[in-house]
Amino acid sequence: MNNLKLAVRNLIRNRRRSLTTIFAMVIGMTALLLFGGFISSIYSGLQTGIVQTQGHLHIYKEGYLEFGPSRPTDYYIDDYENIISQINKDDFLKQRIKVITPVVNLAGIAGNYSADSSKTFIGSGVIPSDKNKMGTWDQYGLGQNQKPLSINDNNTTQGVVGVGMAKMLGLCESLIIPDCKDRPVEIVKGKKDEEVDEQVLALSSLLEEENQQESDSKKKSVQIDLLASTGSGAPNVVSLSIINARKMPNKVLDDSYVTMHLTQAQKLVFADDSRVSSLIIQLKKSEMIKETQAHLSKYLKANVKKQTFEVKNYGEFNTEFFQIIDMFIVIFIFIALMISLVVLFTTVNTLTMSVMERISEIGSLRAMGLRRSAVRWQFLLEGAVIGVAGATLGIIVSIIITLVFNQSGFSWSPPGSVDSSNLKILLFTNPLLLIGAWILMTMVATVSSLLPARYASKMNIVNAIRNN
Amino acid sequence: MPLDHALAELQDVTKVYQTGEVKVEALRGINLILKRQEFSFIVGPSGSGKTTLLNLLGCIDVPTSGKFTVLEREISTLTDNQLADFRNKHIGYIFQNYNLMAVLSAYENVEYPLLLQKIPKRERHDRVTEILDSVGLFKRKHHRPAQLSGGEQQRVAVARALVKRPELILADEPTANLDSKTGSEIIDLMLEMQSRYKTSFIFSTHDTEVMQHANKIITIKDGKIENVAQKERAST
Ligand SMILES: Nc1ncnc2c1ncn2[C@@H]1O[C@H](COP(=O)(O)OP(=O)(O)O)[C@@H](O)[C@H]1O
Ligand SMILES: [Mg+2]
Repeated sequence: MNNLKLAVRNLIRNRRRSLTTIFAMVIGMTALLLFGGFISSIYSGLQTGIVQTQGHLHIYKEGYLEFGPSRPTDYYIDDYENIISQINKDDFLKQRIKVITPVVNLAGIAGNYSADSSKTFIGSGVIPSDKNKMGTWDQYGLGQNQKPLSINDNNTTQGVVGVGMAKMLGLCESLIIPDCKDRPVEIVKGKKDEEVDEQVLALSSLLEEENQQESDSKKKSVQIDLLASTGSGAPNVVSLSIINARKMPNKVLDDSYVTMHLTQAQKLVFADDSRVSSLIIQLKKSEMIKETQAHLSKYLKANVKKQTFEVKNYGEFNTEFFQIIDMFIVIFIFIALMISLVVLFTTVNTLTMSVMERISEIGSLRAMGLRRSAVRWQFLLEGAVIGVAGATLGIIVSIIITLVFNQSGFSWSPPGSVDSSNLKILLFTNPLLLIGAWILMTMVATVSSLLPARYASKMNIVNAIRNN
Repeated sequence: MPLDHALAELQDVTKVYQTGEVKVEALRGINLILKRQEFSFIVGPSGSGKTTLLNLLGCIDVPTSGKFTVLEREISTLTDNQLADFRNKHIGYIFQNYNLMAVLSAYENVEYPLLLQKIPKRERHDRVTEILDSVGLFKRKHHRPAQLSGGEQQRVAVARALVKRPELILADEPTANLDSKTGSEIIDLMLEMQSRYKTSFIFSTHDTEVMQHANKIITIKDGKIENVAQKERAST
């Protein structure tokens, strides 16, 4: 007969009371774990979305994030192909990088003169095949792939816009976009006195001829003109044949986004095909981010003397991600605290009752020579047994519920993503969740037995024996 | 320890209970010497101080004043842990309400004091089996207290007190909850055990009928010793 057996037997003796306590713990544990698993799925869903579209690391010219957009021609990466090949020479980096691709970020005004509308735009010039490769990143096996871009590497004059943008530019009907209607056509004469319009008109008529041949082959596509300022401040215009519209994750982007081929964007902003705004790096695994970032920064400093770069990770160029995750973590901590409190009070109550019932037993054990500390340990052990039982059962119940839930095929679109994907509770992604919750509950139950155990051990023996 | 050494010595021992404003003098000036290997009765009406005296002798309480030693040890100088270890080693207790552990079988209840003394498993088994046999409960060793009658529970309690072979066993009105037939069976059992194991027994009762077999009868009234009768024990 050891102490553990004794504790278990005493708990079994008050079966109903012990089970009620354990049940309360199981409910608390399950709630905590399911919510934790849900946060895990938000974390990985959100991260996957960001990594698929924006990669893990960005290489910029130093200062780009702060000042770049105002002076795109001061903050660019020159001779980017050489830098990419430099990076590919390094084994450490090569082993970790899945995709490295240049991108040109730009902003300006887009005009569709056939529909007589124009709109400010933000956009990027990319290498479509690289982007598509990035869109298949799926470290967590979520199956939430990005739809491939409609543009391809070979045709540099094609582009894709956001659905909202398509609507504003009157492209819906031509592109045959579902749930998208063009503005009712009133014949309103464009205001000729607007300077920008005039300039756009003038410049675009020049370009239209240039691109005539290409745009003719696409039946559905619509030619729009993009106006942006170059480094010198002078406006520049290129044409783009929009071949598709693509829903963007938020309205601001959806209403203004244009994706085009890298070359076309370079033509518009730099008039030079060796310059890009940044290099995007997608890693094979997100865990590699810190080491790769550090290595890459050092490597670039050592190997590219002419330019100074900064390497930012997705938490730095996309502050939203950690804001959202931090918010959920705060909620999680709050819930964990609440549940711990409930478990604490339930267990304190159970163990206090247990002590009260056994006052004369405690008294006689002490009279027989049991030390105070042994009495204390006995009740601490009972608390710990309740804790272990509740925590373990809580994990088992959570796993069962998770399995059932994940089989049921609920779907959702995680924040920041367009397409809905399967909603899965990711209970096992972060082993810390299960282990941490188990330890927490066991500890809370043990801590709750401190007070009753202390009370039991400090009892006056004479009075305890009299208590019959 | 030589036989002529006293089991316990009390000189002018008093015990005062203070409950708020009210002071109760449970013992007032007890002078007493108890010898080893005797079977002593403490007799007195309810409230006379029997339990208080036994608690002192059992080292679970300390006197308010006076000189008090058990087995040559000044009890009031010992720390709580030393006291517990002292009781564990030297003193067995038998209670009016048996106070067996409800979740343990008869066997396990008897085994428990040996676990406290960290006695190895084999020896535990032999000693528990022997003592359960002596008190006639070997067949019921797997029963829990709730499945045993009052008399049987008290037999288990006797076995539990005896199994660790203490110097002294204290029994505070152990027959009070039993019918007189069962009660005298328990007393017979204790007397038999006392002569077999040579343990000192101190047995308190308010029933003057049951004490013809005592070596010593201490009569107590209002916290004072009225009379100490020493006699040779009639043979059983
Ligand atoms: N813990 C206590 N607090 C206050 N008074 C007590 C306490 N224990 C005993 N007494 C009082 O001391 C006296 C002796 O009690 P006790 O030793 O139990 O007598 P007995 O066992 O002979 O019935 C009684 O008057 C009782 O009320
Ligand atoms: Mg009494």
